Amino acid sequence: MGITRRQLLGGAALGAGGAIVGAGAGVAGVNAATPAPPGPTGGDTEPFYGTHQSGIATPVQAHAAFTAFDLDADADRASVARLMRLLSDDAARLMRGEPALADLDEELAHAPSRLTITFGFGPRLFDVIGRADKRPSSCAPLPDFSIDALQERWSGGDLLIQICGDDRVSVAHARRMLWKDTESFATQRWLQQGFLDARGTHEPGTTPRNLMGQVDGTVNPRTPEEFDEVVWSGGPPDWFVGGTMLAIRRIAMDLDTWDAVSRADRENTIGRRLTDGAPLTGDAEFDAPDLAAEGPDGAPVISDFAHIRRAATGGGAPFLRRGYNYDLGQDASGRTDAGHIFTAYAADLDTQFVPVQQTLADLDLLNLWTTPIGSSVFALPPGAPEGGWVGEGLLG
Amino acid sequence: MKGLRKHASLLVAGLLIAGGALAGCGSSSDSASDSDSAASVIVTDAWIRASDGPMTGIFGDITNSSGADVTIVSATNSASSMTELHEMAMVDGEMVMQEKAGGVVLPADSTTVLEPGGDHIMAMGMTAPVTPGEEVEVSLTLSTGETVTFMAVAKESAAGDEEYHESDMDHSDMDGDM
Repeated sequence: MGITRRQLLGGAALGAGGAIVGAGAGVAGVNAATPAPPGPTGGDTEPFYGTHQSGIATPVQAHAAFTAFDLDADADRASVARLMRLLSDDAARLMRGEPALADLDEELAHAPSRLTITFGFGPRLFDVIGRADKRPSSCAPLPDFSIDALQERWSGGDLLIQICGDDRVSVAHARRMLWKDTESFATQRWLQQGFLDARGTHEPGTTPRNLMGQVDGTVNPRTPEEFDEVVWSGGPPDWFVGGTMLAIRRIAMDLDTWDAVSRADRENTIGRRLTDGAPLTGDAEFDAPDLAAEGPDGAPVISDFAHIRRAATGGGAPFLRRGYNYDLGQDASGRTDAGHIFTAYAADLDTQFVPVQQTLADLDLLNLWTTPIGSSVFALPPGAPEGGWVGEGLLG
Repeated sequence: MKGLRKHASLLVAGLLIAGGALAGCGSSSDSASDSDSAASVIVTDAWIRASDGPMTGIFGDITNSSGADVTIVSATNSASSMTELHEMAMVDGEMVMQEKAGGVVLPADSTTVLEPGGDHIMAMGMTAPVTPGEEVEVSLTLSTGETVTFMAVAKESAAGDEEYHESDMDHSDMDGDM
């Protein structure tokens, strides 16, 4: 049996992605039932320097630690600038797989596993540094939503450090190293740690599932053009060009009552099939939902209460979701303490995300099992050029 | 990875010292040899332990590519009135910090690491607190007569909390500073 052009192209594409070494191996791999296992991936890196910060358009990694800090009472523009120079240097080194300066555990830095370290500034930081006029317009606490049951311990913060990576040890080392350099300037307010599928569990690019079992993140920007349109700010303010806004909401899931819901009702709640995430009116995950379609009984196939109908019809505009699951086991009362660290990255939260969230707060069957318990907003500066540091355009 | 670390350029301007710029700093008269020597000893990844005490340590990687051993005979820094070259040594069965007799030798064509728990530069008689993220200028005088100047960024660190071996020093002041 001959090798088709399509198979050859497929093999070549795999080779370019680094999964298979060399063209010869690629061709041989076409007919192999199982590709050769890849070598260790701990040395894989993502860039620190660039137009945009990494950790946003970067394909999702398996682990995340979002940590927010409150600046000390004596913080000012000069001290925050010193802090951001230190943290940027740490991040650049750690993401390259090198220890930070004064790193006492340098071996823990040697396998970054696509580590990304991303910084964000909370609303109050702009007041602290005397630059309230430079605050992006949507860098403010979100409006109160009727569904919210927010807890201080998961909300707010002046400075965000988002650490993502495919290896939990690398993420842990980076988190503690960055905390050590932040400690003189600020106090940890909260830490939210989350996870997705391990690297290699599924084909690259597979949309992850949340702990309710749903394919979560189908509607997302994917191409550079879509990121330019949806995620990256074009200003104002000038310093924010190439940056983005981030809303982090901790969504508790009542998995114990969700257990009682039938598969059919779970699918009707979202409007998508559990097996593959396809809309109930479609055949595959990325098919556009047909919100007008009616069943034999005249009722809409995607119900009036379904999450995807509500999210699509309430105004707003697309944004990037790059959330992580969390699972803290059973709480003191025996209930499951698990859920989703929801993230919305958007050039402007007020025009893109807030209208969607308002529509969902007004009506969404999913609200029966989900409760927002934390909410924070940060402005993520653009990336730093080689030799520069994140936030320089604002603080320098 | 070790090699990468050595070649990393220092974001915080820690690395400098190039020949021409330093020719005027050396004490010897021959400017040509000043350049050669100065360019062959460079300091990277330099940092100073943030401190509000009377003394603190300065660390970094010093690469001597000159082909001949060079000795650091003395040092100065912009944050303190006195600077010494220190080593950790076993004295009476105990590891202590003390001034390094004869200075720090930089073997030919190799990198000498100054780090907590090993050879280091000690800033003594601090004129002001050194706060994290701040940069301190450090100058090393070499046995060749040349001077190497670099910036060290201040970082918090708990590393190397050893005792100081000198009878007239107040031990309580040393804790956590070197």
